[in-house]
Amino acid sequence: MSWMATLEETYRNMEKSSLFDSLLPIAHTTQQAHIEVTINELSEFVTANVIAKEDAETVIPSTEQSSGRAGSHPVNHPLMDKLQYVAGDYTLYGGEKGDSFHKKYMEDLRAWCQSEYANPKVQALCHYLEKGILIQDLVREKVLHCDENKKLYQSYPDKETEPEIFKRVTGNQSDAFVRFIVNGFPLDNESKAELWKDRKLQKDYINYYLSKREGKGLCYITGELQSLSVNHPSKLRNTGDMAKLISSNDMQGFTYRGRFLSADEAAGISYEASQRAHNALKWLVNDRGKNYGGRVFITWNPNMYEVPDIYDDSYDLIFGKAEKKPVQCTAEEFAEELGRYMNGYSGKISYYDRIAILGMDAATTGRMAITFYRESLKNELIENLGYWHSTCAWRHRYKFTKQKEVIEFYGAPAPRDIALAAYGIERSNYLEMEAKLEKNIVECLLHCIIDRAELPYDIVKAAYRNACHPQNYNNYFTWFKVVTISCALLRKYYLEREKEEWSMEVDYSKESLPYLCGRLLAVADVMERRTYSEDDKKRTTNAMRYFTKFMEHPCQTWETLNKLLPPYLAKHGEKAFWYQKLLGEISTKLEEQDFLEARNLDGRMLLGFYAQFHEMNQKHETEKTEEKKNEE
Amino acid sequence: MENAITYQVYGRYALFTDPITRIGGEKTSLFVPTYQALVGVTESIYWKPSIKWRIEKIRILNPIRTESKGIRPIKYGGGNDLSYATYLSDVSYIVKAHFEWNENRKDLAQDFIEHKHFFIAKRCIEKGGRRDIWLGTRECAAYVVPCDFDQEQGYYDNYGEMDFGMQFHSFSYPDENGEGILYARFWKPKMVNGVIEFCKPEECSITKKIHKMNKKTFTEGINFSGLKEPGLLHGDQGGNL
Repeated sequence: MSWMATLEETYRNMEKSSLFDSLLPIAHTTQQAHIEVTINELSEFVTANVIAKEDAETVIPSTEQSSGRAGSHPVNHPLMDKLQYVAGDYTLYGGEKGDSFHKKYMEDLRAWCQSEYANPKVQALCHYLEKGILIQDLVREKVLHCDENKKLYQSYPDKETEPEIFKRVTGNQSDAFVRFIVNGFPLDNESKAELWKDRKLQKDYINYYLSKREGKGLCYITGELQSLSVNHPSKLRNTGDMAKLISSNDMQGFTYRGRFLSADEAAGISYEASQRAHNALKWLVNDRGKNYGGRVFITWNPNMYEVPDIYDDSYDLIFGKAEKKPVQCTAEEFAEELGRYMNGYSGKISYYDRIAILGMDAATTGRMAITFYRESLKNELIENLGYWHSTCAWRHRYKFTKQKEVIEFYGAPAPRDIALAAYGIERSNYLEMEAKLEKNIVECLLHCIIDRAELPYDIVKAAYRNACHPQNYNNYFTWFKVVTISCALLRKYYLEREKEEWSMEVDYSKESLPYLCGRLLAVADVMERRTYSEDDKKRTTNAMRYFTKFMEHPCQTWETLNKLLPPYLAKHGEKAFWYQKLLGEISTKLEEQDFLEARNLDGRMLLGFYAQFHEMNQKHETEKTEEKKNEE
Repeated sequence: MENAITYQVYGRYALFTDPITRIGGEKTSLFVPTYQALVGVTESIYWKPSIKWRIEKIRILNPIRTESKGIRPIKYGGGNDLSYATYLSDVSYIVKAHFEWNENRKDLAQDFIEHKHFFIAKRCIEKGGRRDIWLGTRECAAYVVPCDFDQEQGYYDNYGEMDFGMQFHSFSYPDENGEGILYARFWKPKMVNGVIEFCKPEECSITKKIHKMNKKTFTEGINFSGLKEPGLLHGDQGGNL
């Protein structure tokens, strides 16, 4: 299906489900209201008050023109609006914008009240507003404030005792937005006294509005003859976002010119379909949108079944919703948990259920583009997701619990972390990167996750290059994060392109030159680091210092490095022999001629480095714990 | 006598723009080619005013994937704009089409020679088409090779059904409908195991009248000079194809 048809279908499904309450009805929009006015069934004023900021969001009926209103002649909303529209005595109290807005508003309201879709509460409200005494009532109630000339204050003279309304409204108090409560009518599940919560009223309005819309044409979504929409909603990614997915005011470009003379010849979308699709989209973005440098991605099932979060790393994917999250997770435990997780999903929804993934972004402020759209069968997606998490997996230590405990987990890193490892720059201990690059890398990785596409060479190479430059990172942990993510990428890369299996443990049978070189370097690093006292924990080892150089010219650099090792070996005393033996074992496997000629070692060097490094550290820790036990 | 051809068309990108996104300029491709796009491809391979190409069916060989690119379109009044276009990437289709006589062109009735057009079309496929081939949009260059309809393995061969909702089918031009009006036709395509069987243009239940348009006239000696070459009207004379 096209993205628009799928969104429209999603809205229809949501309407029937329990999500209905959180969904914005069609022909409605939200506004921040400032004043709440209560009247009774006899159209008499009861009370009024200023609304607290937390409670200000109000769902109001709107028309196609009013929801996108702008400029010097804004169109009124049909029911609830600013004082200049709803109050008949606006000019009397010094309002500067004139009477025409109120006249037009009352005309529209009366037309609704006289139609077959009239609502008794709206009729009561209409009678009250016809009296033209709203501001008078609000002043008496001390919601609005007048100066001695009986005009509303532009700004309150005394800042100290400034009433609430001045703090709430940006600008002038005569710009306040009013919402209404009508008491005295029977209430039930649907009908509420608060007009903005009244489902019955919303239905009446929708029916009324749809009945009086004109301009029927072929809707390209539903295939039916319906009233077409010209202005489509904006504010899709956030409330300040002016970009629209569908716009057609572009007579300046070569968009539909040629075969078509006007935009309506080229395409038509009905008001209803447009509203449904956009409201569903906004709901989804708000609920689960992931923003990468301005590009927003959503994943959903048109029947609103739960879908896995494809942008998570393995840890969050599996344990994200669990109450008890483990701090450590080994490869075996991970494989088991992943299998359980995937099975859980396979059972939940049927084979042919679709999962849609949509990404959108704006190249200019005015127009939004669908940059990514995919519909996958559920099983296909879940299988591919499982493949990603089991092939791009390594042991990582860069996540923390809320108590700042290090989480050690095995699995695939999140796409954003991969992007950061490959192209991030360290700023004050954290990796940061250019937004434009980030969104493109994430989109690229999305293909690898959901389509099983091969990892792009440039991303793997960039991450590997960064890992080979420890001097570029102030924080050791940041560098190590780049190392483990690079290892995860390299493992997947070699598996797919070279059919080679690399694991986190040292493989003594592997005789690949870069791998052995990596192991050599790790021994030199760990050996030196162990001689450090508590005070110089922050020192950089010679191996780290020569990391880049070693990767470029291993033989030459090893000569230099080898000369620097003896003093540290000496410090080890008896244990020095063990290190020398290990270095010897690795060196004998190196082909002399190849080692001499080796330049720019490939990613296997990092895999070798990690394996050796990890093995020695683990051994050390088990020795330490055993020593402790012995002492006890 | 035969009038049906099959060929494979493939390219790195394709952009069968969804009309909804075309009007704004942020073009996004439909998932599958429209009938009209395939008529365009076939006409680029070979076409004469006396024939009408009819697309019978299409097989989609590669998985449907999208890829977006930042592009810099020019504006009507000079200068440029920025936008994103979302293409289908790495596409490959096998198309089966046949030609029929354009009955609105009774003036060209002497060119209604099935044998001739069939063999020219076949030769044209072997040469990769007479004109440049592109998929949907001019920047998506594509290539044509001869191919049997079931020859290649496809990604969706055992996929079952896939629905695409309502979609543009084709245009009805005045010289085909004889009404002096340009129509757009719509249908609801369905892919079954990778194959979409197109409904006949006149069977599309949903149509939209776009505007009035006159058919082009061909006058011998002014903008039309064919049919004079010796042997042209007598079909294939043997020899290698």
